[in-house]
Amino acid sequence: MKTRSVKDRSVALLAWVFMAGVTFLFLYPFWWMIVSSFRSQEAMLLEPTRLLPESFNTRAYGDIQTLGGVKLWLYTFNSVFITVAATLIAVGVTALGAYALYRKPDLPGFRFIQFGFLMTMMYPAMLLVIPVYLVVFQLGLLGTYAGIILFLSLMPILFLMLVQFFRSIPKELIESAKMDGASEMQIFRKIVLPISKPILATVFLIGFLLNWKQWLPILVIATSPDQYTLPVALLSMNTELGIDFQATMALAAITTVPIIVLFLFTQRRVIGGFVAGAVKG
Amino acid sequence: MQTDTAVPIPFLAALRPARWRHAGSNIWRNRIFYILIAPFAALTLVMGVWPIVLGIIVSFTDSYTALTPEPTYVWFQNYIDIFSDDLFLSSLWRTLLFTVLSVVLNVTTALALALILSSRSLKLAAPICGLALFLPVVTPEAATFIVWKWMFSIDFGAVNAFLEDMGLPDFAGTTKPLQAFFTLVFVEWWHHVGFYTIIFLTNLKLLDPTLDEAARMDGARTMQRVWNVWIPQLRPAIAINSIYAVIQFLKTFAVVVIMTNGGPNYATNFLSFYAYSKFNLADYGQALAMATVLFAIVIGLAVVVYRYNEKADYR
Amino acid sequence: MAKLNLNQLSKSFGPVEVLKPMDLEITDGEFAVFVGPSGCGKSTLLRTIAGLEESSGGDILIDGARVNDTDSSERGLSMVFQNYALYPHMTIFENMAFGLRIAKTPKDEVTRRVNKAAAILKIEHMLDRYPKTLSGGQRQRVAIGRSIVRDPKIFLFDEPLSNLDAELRVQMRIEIARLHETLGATMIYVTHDQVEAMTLADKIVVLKDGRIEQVGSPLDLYNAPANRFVAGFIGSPGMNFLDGTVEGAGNGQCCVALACGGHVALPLRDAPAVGAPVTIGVRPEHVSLGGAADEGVAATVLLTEQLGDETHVHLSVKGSEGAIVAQVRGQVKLRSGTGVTMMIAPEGCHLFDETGLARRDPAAAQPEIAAAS
Repeated sequence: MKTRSVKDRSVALLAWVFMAGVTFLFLYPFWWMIVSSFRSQEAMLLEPTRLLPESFNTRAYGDIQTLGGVKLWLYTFNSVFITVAATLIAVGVTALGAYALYRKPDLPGFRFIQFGFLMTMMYPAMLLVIPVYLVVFQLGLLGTYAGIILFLSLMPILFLMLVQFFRSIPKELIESAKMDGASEMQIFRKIVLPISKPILATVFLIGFLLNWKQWLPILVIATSPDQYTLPVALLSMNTELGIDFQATMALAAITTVPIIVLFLFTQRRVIGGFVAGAVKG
Repeated sequence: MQTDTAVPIPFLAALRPARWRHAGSNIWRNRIFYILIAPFAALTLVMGVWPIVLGIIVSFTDSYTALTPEPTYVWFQNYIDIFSDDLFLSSLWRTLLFTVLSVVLNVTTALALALILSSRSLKLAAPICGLALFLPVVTPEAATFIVWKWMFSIDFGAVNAFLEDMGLPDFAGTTKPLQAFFTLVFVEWWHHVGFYTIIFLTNLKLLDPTLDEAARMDGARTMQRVWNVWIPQLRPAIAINSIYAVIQFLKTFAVVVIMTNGGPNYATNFLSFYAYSKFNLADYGQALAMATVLFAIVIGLAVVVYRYNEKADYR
Repeated sequence: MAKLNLNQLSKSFGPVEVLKPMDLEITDGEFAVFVGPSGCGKSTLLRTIAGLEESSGGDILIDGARVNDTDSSERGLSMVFQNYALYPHMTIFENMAFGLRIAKTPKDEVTRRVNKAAAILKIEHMLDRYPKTLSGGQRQRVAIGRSIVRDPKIFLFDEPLSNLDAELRVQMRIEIARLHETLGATMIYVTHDQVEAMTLADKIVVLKDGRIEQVGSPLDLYNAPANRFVAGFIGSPGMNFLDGTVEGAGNGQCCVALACGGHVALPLRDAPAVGAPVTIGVRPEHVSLGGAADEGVAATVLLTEQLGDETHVHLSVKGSEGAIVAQVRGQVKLRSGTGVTMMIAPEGCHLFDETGLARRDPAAAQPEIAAAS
């Protein structure tokens, strides 16, 4: 027994060390990003892996107040506005649609809609942007918030999560309401909607995180930097203004840190939601 | 049937014909559901079905006339062109190679990480590590890929600084073809492996503990239990993760745009990136022909998976 | 309160006919139980009556009015589900009041009726709680209360006790029986448990493969099963079946030679032809042990189950695959392997022909058996 416990302890130690290494590998780039945003280019060249900045050099944060002729606050506003608007629409529209498809998959026309949605899900998302560009062009929505928000409201993963949730509602609950004399509208408003509140919150959260990340559709549909969001602005720095390393890291930090904080506060919900959408979708 | 081993694919069931009996009264009686689905249907049609159909149509037209009211149809010329384009063929093979490598790497390491994370000896550290692994999944890739690009930079990247500290030779990062390819394999792994790990971890928690206890009673050692009890039970999860991974890595795009722009010397010129660069040159016909080819590959895979799942359901 | 009639009601799922055209009448105030093995269509039948499934043919009449095309929300029925189906986001009070509020019942009327129903079920003290804080038995009580509040034409119960443990099940069974007595309402109850059916029902409807096998009072079914299936399904321990051949008939008697050896002469005027293969069914209480070897059947004891007041002796006999069970009064100790003589009471025998249908003389059989048992 004694040798066993010694062996067990050494295995545990090994696991600890290994997972500490892995954790470091996954967290370090974020740390490096934040630290670098406070360090001058010269300091970086001398000592790239310093864990704390020599001094808090906030030059970069000042420099990026205007980028490509557009104020930083406009990028931030765009990010928040587009993300919130698109996610709200996505959650509302997808929840209603998923509920209708879950309840009555066999109604005339419903299979076609589901089939169309399935195809959309399988079309490589990045490449869908190309024909969507043509459609948005034909609709005359190029360079408008409407065009961007409309495309970002189509969120397959939300659909999977919501359908999964609706399937988990015992069908007797709906039948019971029916027997109680409730109409379909009353069933939806008084039974389904109230018990869906937690999942709607989760889905909104995940939709928010995913839309915040978006860049290609915005880059393609936007016609001027006025419509850019933070990630798109960051990418334009990567290509056009890419020489200023410290400023790039500063903007990357601004884009990322709020999301990290949001995620840390809501991680249970977010991870649970992702898993529910993926495992049983 | 309840314990769905499903993938996003079961919706292929949608292909089955609907019954149109008593359609009129049926529609009127269920009008509320038509009202509920209307916005969703509109969005799907305008931002999904229409672009896809338009994309396929444009892939049959001459690029210069694609956006005009009366495009010239060249039918399969764009497809003939891309399949006689060496760059396209090599990018097709490169994409497949990258996909296979990434799927194997991600699924095996995710499984290993999940097994370690689920071991009792880690205690409180496990959730922290799980969070760290999942962080890249939710943070904007525009930022993380740029950070990695600089991390691999020769001058002030952290990677080479570490290597130097340990007395190892420099790593060329994204500046040399072969190294650039593997840099992308690594960064994509860093970006996605947390997702697969969490899925495995969830499935591990759902395993039937009595099987493991029975094996313990039979005197099986840890590794034996992992191989003979856990992994066989995880087979559906492995299948699902592999499928997700295949679809995910076939579409690899952002990391290329942000870190390498397809280079150096086309070493990271993947399919979707190549299509996108054609689009940027306003070569809509060829761009969409490539997109359609990739779409066809994904659908083909999905059908195979769907068939497999249907069979598995009735086993 | 209402009566229910089914005329040639049928139901198909695609090509599968789960309910074959059937007729049934359930009178006002009756407690009817649908019973049968799983997959027999009993739940589908209930759900079709409720309007949760669409019928494929025939009529459903409630108080003479056809309701096939009426939405279940407008049929005026109530249903208690196996998994309770309480609305998780509402308190017990709100759960019970839901139907009335939907019907725009005045507030004080709602309160009055909920409180009355709660008093009947003794759940007044938990009206402010949420379903998740209740035990299974309490939840089912609330679900029943929700039905009572609505004062439905017919109460429907879909295996309401299956999720409860054995003790609670017996207790709730008694309460449901009492409730039926108090309310005098028409109730239809689905179960796979024949004990529930026997103890609760005024009228049992036995279903198998989407067909009604027999309709009758519990004792009708017990004493005069219409066929082999009903005979085997009703009663616990189940009826024993012995293969045999008709060897003589006449004088209101039918003589059967059993495959296991021995003969039974049972009173039956409408006997099958001599030489016809038949099955003799006999309940355990009509099988006894002991007696002269030439009058009975030689058997070997397989095992004995001691219940205290009685003993079930499982016997193996020649030519029969399953064990024959004898129910013996008192505590009998027999070692397995012991050879015994098994006696069959002829008046307790049921004769089933080749197609499994019971052959019996009208009226004659019942009082005799009642006397014998």
